[in-house]
Amino acid sequence: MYAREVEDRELTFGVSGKLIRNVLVMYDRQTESLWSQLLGESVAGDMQGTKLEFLPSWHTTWGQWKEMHPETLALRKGFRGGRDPYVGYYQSNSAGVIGETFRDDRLATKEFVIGVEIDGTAIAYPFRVLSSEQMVNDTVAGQDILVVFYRQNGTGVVYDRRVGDETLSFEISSENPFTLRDLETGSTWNALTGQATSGKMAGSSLERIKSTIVFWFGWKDFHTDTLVYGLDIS
Amino acid sequence: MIFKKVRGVSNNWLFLCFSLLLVACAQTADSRNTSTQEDLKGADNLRSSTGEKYDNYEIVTVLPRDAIQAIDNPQFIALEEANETYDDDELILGVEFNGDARAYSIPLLSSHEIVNDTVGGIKLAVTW
Repeated sequence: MYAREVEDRELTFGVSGKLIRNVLVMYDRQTESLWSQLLGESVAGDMQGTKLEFLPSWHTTWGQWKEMHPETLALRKGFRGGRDPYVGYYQSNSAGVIGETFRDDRLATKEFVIGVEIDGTAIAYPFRVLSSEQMVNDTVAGQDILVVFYRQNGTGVVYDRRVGDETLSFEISSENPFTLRDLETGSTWNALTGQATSGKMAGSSLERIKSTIVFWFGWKDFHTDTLVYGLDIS
Repeated sequence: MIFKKVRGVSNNWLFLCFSLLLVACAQTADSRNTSTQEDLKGADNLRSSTGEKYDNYEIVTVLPRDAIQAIDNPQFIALEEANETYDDDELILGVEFNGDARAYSIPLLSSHEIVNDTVGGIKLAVTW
């Protein structure tokens, strides 16, 4: 999810039909520049080098989302029914259209990961590892981050766990899996929105960090030196 | 899903359709004197490079532009109506700005890849 207002200019994006390492390349209709979806950056054309502003979104189920936002609207269907045309693709072992650029067998080709890149350091959090840990207090390139994952909804959210001058460490509340508690102040937090709901920190919120839910093969082709949480580091 | 994909195994018509497009696309690129489609503008080589900083990112053309159509004028329905077409366990991308919350069905996004939208006053592109 990206802002499409770039340098005071409103862009609309289309599908270019091109790929970089099997990942979608968009074009904008105003300048016809090409944009890498994974990089969030223009790779060719007049806008080359321009970055898109990352906007937080939630990858979850309809059931979970409408509970979070009872007033939500939903994109109208009807064009082609609801069937996902890529069902077979998710299950096959082949890596996209043009094959893998770099070989890296640390994870299975089509394993889902949450990818994070901070100051040139890339790290992948495999769904498989997160399924058992659910939450990771981590430090990447000197930045303290929090990764929260809900297997049942496939929801993965990454936060900066520094609030003001304080770095917080979180645990999942024993009463509600969607509530976090920080060890420093005992405040409770909504795990999905990052807002403190009670305690000393009430009213504060955690800032989202750019993260991508992505197949392993796509992530490691873009980030050949990526770390893999649960394998490379403790 | 951010991968552009032409399925290795698929039984739906899209696969056939895309396969034909792939062939058409490759032929256009191979023999320069065949019809030059507007769609393939900028793709005079099937594989082209992006210059200096982006040299490592080889751009490969697999489909004509807009063969997969982004949604430019998305229409929305309220919760009650949505419950009729969205299953509770259906995956969605959700976004919320300034009290304006919207859900985009991932199966539907898979057919369009991009939705150009404005949510809570924020102009954004939903990408999959």
